[in-house]
Amino acid sequence: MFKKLLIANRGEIAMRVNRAAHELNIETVAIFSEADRASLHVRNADESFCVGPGPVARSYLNIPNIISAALISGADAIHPGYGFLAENARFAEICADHGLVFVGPTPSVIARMGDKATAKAIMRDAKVPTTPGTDILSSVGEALTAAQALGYPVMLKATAGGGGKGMRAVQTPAELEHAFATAQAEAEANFKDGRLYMEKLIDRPRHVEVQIVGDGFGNVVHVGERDCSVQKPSHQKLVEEAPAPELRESTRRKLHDVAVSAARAVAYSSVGTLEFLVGGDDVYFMEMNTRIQVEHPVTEMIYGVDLVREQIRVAAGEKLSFRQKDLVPRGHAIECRINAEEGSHNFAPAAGTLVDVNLPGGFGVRVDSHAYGGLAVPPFYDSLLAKIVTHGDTRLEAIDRMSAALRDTRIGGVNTTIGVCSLIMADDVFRHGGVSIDYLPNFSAAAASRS
Amino acid sequence: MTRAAIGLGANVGDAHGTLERAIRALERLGRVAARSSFYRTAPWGVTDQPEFVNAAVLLDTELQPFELLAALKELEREFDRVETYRWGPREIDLDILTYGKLELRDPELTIPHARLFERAFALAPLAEIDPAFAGAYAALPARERDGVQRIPAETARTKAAVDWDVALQRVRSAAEFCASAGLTRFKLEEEGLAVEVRRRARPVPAFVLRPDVEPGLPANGAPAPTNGSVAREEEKATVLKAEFVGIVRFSRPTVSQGAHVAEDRELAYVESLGIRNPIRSGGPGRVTRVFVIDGQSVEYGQPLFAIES
Repeated sequence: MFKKLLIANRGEIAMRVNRAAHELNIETVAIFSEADRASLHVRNADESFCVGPGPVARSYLNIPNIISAALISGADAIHPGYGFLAENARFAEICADHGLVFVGPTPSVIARMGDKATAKAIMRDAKVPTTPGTDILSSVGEALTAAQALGYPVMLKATAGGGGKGMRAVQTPAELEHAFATAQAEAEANFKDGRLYMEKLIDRPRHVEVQIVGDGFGNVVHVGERDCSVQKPSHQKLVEEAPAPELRESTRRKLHDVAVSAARAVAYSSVGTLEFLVGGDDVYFMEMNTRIQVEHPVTEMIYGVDLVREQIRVAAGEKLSFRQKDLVPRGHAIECRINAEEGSHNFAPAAGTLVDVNLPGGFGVRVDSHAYGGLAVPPFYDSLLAKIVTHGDTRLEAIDRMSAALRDTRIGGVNTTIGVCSLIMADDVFRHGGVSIDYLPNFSAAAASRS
Repeated sequence: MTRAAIGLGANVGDAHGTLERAIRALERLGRVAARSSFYRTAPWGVTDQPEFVNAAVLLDTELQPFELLAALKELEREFDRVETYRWGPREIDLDILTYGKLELRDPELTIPHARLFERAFALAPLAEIDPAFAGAYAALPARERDGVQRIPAETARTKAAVDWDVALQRVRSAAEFCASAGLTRFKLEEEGLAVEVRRRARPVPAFVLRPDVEPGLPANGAPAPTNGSVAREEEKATVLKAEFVGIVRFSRPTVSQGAHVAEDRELAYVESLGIRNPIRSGGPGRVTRVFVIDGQSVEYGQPLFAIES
């Protein structure tokens, strides 16, 4: 096992990793920016190094200073948390060059999974379903034939596209000719590249992801799925839960099976997540995240396993401490992300000094947070302040427990998402379960029109 | 119950007596398990100061590190209050050298003491009562070790036996005589007691007398110094800070506090991932503060030198 672990992150995830390391009797080294000097993650670690000023490019992404801090402090491993350097294959390589263990998968796995085209090709080879689609379409005629084969509705996309430019949803053959021309013109105007391809349009999909863990001995298990369909228009998740509600058992099994075979295909040896779009009983691979995820606690709550601890153990060369048959979920868990931002309308970020901080606790309630009264929230980073997680025997029990916990939660000084999360917990559509990714944008629009 | 090592230092008035009283006062914070001999150190930097007398004790205490720090600061203030020479240097300095096996790196408190392994006057008494530090003491350059001399117990006893109230009265008379006569030096020897009085032309800046001040913090955690020597020094000066996390290495010849340096002189470099990142003086000037010691690790933004042009 490692002697000393440098945690190359901040906020709640740095504290989460710090706790797991201390439980394993590993000493910890925190890094921080000048804006985070008063942060709890600095206080809880055994040692700490300031690595740069507030902006992330000069501090939390400052690879030379982070590596130097690890070497000076005598650390033998670096945990990247999520975000920042967590999926940077080059950083993982640099760690290895300096004799430091990167707590994550190998650089080559990170690199291959980070490239969406490569990842999809690997998944196709592993018989993992991906969104059906075409190569470059040379003419409207070719597009009509392809759409017929895929089945309407379909989506035209620009190869150089992004931000919705050059994208057209097409419901019927009659619409296709016009849509092809306008999408091509838009792509040409925006990216100087008018090439288009087509994908099957998955109507109002759900975002369901599967947690997997592998070790260096070829053992790979799944730790169930999470439903993260309550997302902002920017795809940032707000409410997550496990297991995914209103999902057919055959679909759930299909998700678990393809996730495990995909992870085996790349000999995956860490914690990781495969994200899928689910439409009806069809599942389509979207992407793989080769790191611990923000929402990992809902999985931990129902399976009773510590994913971060397992991630560290596996990185140190140990075998998985459980087998697939040991993993039996119990009850239901919900997570609400409490962010420092305006919760009701447009989710614009907010910054300020926290006052009157009261976080909930008690039976079935878990809070992962670095917030305290007097903390100045710097403008440079992710706005996450706290993750409130509740567990119950049933989904509705977990939701009601969350409602009560949110009522106990106070964070003054900044606008937060406490209010919108409370409204969601009380909403009949959410309480019924199985909402799609257009739920929150519609919910916010309805709430805005009511007020 | 944790065994902490406390370093004591005094250089004004009856230094031996002050140390004796301070060691007795430490009994209030725990049990004094061992105490070292007294050590004499040649003054540091400025030569017309009285010499320092240092000692160390092992204290078994229930106090937590920050409680212990607060208690030591309170003792220092207590000693200052009885000191008649109001605007002079601190009568006693008390520092936590070690606290069990604790390693702590906090802006207010670093344990083991940040400069312990560089300071002969701290290591010599500590090594005497805790053999674990004998190696560290032996590893110091001979020049450093030679600057610190153990005061034989007999001498200490003789000194302690002197009636200091009487002796101080004599010193005061001698000082008054010096001043009225316009003398700068006066020496008196009688009955095994030698008194030498030197009159300073101007007061010595307080920072010279407090080599143990933490970098970038007000002296001994006190409120921003009202006599302003340190704060004003830094207002006028340019503070050179580390850009890289690494080990600071002083360039030769080593500059010390008060030294004048030429324009663009390399004072030190920060060694980071095998690369030398030089720290240069900028314009010509005088080094008013040296915040770090050769070979220590530094983080981003850590003050290294203050230069006054």
